[in-house]
Amino acid sequence: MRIPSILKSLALLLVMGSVGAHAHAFLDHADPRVGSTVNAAPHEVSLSFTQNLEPAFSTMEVIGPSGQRVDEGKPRIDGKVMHVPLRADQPGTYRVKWRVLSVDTHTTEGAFSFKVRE
Amino acid sequence: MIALLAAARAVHFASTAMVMGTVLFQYLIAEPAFRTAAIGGSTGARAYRSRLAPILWIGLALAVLSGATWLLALAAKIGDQSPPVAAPGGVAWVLLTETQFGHLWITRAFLAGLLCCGLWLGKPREAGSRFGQGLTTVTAMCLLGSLAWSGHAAGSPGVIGDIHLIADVLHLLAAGAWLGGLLPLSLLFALALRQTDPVLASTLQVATRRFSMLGLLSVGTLLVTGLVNMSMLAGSLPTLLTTDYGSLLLLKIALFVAMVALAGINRLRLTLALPKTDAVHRLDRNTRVELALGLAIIAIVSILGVLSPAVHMGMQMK
Repeated sequence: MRIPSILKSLALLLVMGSVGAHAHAFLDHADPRVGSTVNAAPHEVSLSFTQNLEPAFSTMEVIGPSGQRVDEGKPRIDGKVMHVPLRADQPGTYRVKWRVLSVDTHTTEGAFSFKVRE
Repeated sequence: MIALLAAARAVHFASTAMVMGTVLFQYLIAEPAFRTAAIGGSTGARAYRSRLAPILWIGLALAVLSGATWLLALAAKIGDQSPPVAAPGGVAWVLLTETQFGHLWITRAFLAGLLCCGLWLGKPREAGSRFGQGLTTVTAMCLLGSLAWSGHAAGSPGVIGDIHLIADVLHLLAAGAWLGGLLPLSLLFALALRQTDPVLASTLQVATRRFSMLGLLSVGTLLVTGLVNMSMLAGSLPTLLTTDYGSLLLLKIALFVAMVALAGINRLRLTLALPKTDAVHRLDRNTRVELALGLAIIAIVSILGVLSPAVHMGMQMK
């Protein structure tokens, strides 16, 4: 982190007003994308958040078209991104539910679906 | 559970600020004023030090207890449990050993231990060793400043996050220096009113001027860092006016303005009238009012920390 970049950002901050820093982890984007339809069942779901996550208190589960959980094991977390491998090959609607704790100790949760074409 | 968490935060903020402010006041304001008047060994100076020592020890004990309560209440909130279930081994242990917050708490517990050593070596009752004074001052500042990593600033990513953290650390230190110094200042007024010693009265004049300078520096720092924090978390004007977070933030700003107004009266009028007894009485009264306003601000800050910032209005939240 360079001092000039801090000073530049500070000046921008004071001149332009609100910059809206994220004090909680919100879902930024997902792969497969939220509400998307994909041609083949993915090998994993990855969720990218607006803030670093605490692995000990962050979970994700994926429910397949038959109503069974298809996620395998504990999610892997790299900073802001959470991945979970899937054992999925069926077409249909998959539901992803997540609950995460951000490093500033606030919990957020959410859910979304994606479809696999027949 | 949120109420217990907010209460633990309030006591922790207040006690750590009190310890840091008292340490700074004693070593940077009162002791130099005693030395200037060459009354470091006088009965008045000794009586004053003996009043500060319990504030420091009680403040440190409260900081440790409220810190532990904060950890347990947070664990209970995260695990959706009541504190007794969270206490033994389970969620609280994972929170302490596997998260950024827990690692911060372990570091701060170590700092509290160092502060305890510093207080013992620094011997506030006797003005103590220079090493003890230095250790006490640095650890008390670190104990308060490190609280920035427990709040909203800890989660902001990138350069903006670094600015938010630096602003938060400076905000905490400035608030601690000002708010925490008000009680020892008030005790100095009380002592001067009880002992009609002209040397002590002139010491009071020097100490009040020095605290006034520290107060000016603190207010300036609080204004700049407060603006930075506000631009990060307050969102737009409508969200500031329509959310609980925004309303509390506005109330905090109003109380801060009242404190600055009182401090202005103290500096521009009453300090100049010292050592008249009437001026000491009025300064003492204003200082107590400032302290009450400051504690109300700490209570608000404690609640703000457990709320969702106004900037998140419209985003999905649990």
